[in-house]
Amino acid sequence: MNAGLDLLDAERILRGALIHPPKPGDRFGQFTLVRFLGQGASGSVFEAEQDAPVRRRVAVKVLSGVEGSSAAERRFESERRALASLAHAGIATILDGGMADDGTPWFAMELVDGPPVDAFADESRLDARERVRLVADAVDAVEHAHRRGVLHRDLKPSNLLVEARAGQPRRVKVIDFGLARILDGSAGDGPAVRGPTGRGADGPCADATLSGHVIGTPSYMSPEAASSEPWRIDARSDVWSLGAILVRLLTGAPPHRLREGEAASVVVERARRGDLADVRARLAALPLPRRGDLSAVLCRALARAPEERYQDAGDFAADLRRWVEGHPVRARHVGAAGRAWRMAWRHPVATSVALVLAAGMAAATVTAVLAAREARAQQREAERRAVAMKDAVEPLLGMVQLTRLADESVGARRRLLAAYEEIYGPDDTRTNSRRIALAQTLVGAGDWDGAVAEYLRLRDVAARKGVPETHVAVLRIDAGIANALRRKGDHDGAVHVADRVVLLADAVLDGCDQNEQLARLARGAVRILEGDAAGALADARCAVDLLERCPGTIETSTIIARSFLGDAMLNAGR
Amino acid sequence: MIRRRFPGYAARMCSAEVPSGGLFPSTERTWIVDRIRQGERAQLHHHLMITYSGALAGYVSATGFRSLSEPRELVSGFFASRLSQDGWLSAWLESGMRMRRWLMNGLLLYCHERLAERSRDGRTALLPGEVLDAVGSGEDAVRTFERVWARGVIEQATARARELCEEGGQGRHWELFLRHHVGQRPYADLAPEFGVSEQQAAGMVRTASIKLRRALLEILVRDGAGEGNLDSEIAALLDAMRGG
Repeated sequence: MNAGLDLLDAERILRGALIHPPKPGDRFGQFTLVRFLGQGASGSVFEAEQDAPVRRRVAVKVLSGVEGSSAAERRFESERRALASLAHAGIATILDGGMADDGTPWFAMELVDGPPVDAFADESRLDARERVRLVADAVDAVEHAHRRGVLHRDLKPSNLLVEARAGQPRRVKVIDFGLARILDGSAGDGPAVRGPTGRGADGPCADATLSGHVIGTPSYMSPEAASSEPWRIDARSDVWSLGAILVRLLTGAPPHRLREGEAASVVVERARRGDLADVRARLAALPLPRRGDLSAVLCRALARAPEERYQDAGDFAADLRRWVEGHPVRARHVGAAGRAWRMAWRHPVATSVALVLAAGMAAATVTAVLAAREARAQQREAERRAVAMKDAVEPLLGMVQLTRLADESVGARRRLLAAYEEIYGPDDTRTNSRRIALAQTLVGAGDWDGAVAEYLRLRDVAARKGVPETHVAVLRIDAGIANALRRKGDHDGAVHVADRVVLLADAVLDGCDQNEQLARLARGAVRILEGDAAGALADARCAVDLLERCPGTIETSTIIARSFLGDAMLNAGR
Repeated sequence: MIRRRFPGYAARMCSAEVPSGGLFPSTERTWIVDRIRQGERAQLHHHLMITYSGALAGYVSATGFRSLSEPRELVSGFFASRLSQDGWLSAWLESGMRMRRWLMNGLLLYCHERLAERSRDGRTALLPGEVLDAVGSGEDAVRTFERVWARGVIEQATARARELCEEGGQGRHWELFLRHHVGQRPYADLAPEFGVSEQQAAGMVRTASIKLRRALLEILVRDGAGEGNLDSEIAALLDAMRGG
């Protein structure tokens, strides 16, 4: 305490704490402030006029003194440094800077004259393709910043402005690097900010935000940003925010929206949990071409775990453009058969999981055992009695796997199927169930061609009966084909079919069909073999999550999915 | 205006801050809530006594309650009585009142309780007219309270700002601030003394001003002020010091 502080001194000291905010008419270097444009993360932004050496309009950012915090100074300095290190058509260029007479720091930059990207897209009634293209352009700019060692950390629609001047192509500009983090020594052209290296040489102490504080804007905040752990924020956090912006442009609301009467902390908590069920539902309701592809791209960008996202912004931009141009997206892509085959040798665990999945997808082995026993006991009995016996015994055999009986069961299955065909006819649903059981038994017995042939017969039946391609029964058949092909070693074929199943399932199902989830697991298993550990993990997590939430899921499906998730995590090194 | 290119004005510090604008900080008000919730009452009580004892004693001195006891003793008794009550500070949080108003009201009630006790004990401390007189002089007492409190805030903030500057290796910035604002000396005089340009001197003073603002903010927000109203709070402090 300053016990001796007299009244006059105290008053003068207090006056010294008053910092007058900048206002129109004030001059900063060669620039005269014209009007207030907005409050950025690190200062007030004004439109200003430069009179010499050229006459032009610019934006001048002046440090705000009102918060009395040196964090503001650091953010201001960070932004100035970030902008000075960037040169990209999608980022406002810094022009000049300095310090006013009273010590207030400022800098001038290119004035971006245009509305925020969401307002522009809505007012211009852009279609989905154009909206995706706009975001892809923004992702390019952000990728440039990442390559120069700069994380933006506050990407949201109001920080993406669209300039649309007459006679010129419209351009998205990323603005307000006020919360940017610069990683020292990374201003070269290489991929400076990538993956988990984002902590940077300057460490958390030099960060504008400290542990315990949450940085950014809640609706566009990645799960790790919402978790008050700034050291976990890296380039993939910007990828998440860009994905969130695209969700806003496509569905009218960000992934985690602030509902009326809710506190911001509720949205932060929602962002922390990273639940995408609402986003999936909104995307599924959109009348989009190749909706499943775009949904996959966004799910990858918005994955809760950074390891499961696009590992750099460039990959995200590329996938967005693939979607725009009608090409298959990488979020669904699986590689060549040869590579997968080699990976199979290196990943015996994954291979065995694939085997389990093949059996588990419809409890093939279980029913095979049933059929073997049933056939031995009942093969001379009348067909109706055999059916009754099967119905009574089958549930009891759920946990039994005796593959040595597979050969015998194939014969029994064939006899049973023949009986059904004779009694009910070849296209009857009950006959089809027997044929599925036979096909699964053939997979278990190693007769993959035979299994595929039976599945294809089922496809023929479906076609004759006019069953749509998206019907769950057809998806189940295709999932079976995918497994049979994988067991046979035809990985390209397996992946092709599995991808198709998931694509169609995404488009028409509500996510609560266990066949869809088992198909997703099948695709995940192929991804492990192919070396895409992150993709496999995403598939496994998604399948487990949905299976556990779906009413009526049989326990074995969840057990299979959980065991696969464990394997996927091992493969992803987690 | 002379323009210079980006001198190293940015202070490099690594301590807890109170960020705002697009952030979700734990405020100083939350600091009090946290102390209550985490059972760290000693730290909280120390803060309250340091910040408000002087002002509350001034308040008592300006009322008829001064005859109850020596003002400092009365205030100590008040703190001892109220801070030992579970839920008393939680009630403040729910009241939405400024802390100093809450304490002043609490002290007033405490004084009435002491009067009632004296009556019960048969010790007639104040006649009914004197009680009325004590309450009736409340307006002046409030002014006194505000003046003493404002003064205390400035003293606390000044000490804290100097500390912040010294921690950041900017002791000279604080010195320059005092000479410029308290000593009323222009930058043109001071700059050569400190071996810096006028612009640099202005920047140093501004840095010290920001530290002072931060220190003021810490205290005022704990009292219940909003974080975005620092300038109007400073104006109110100036008024209070002049007895307005």
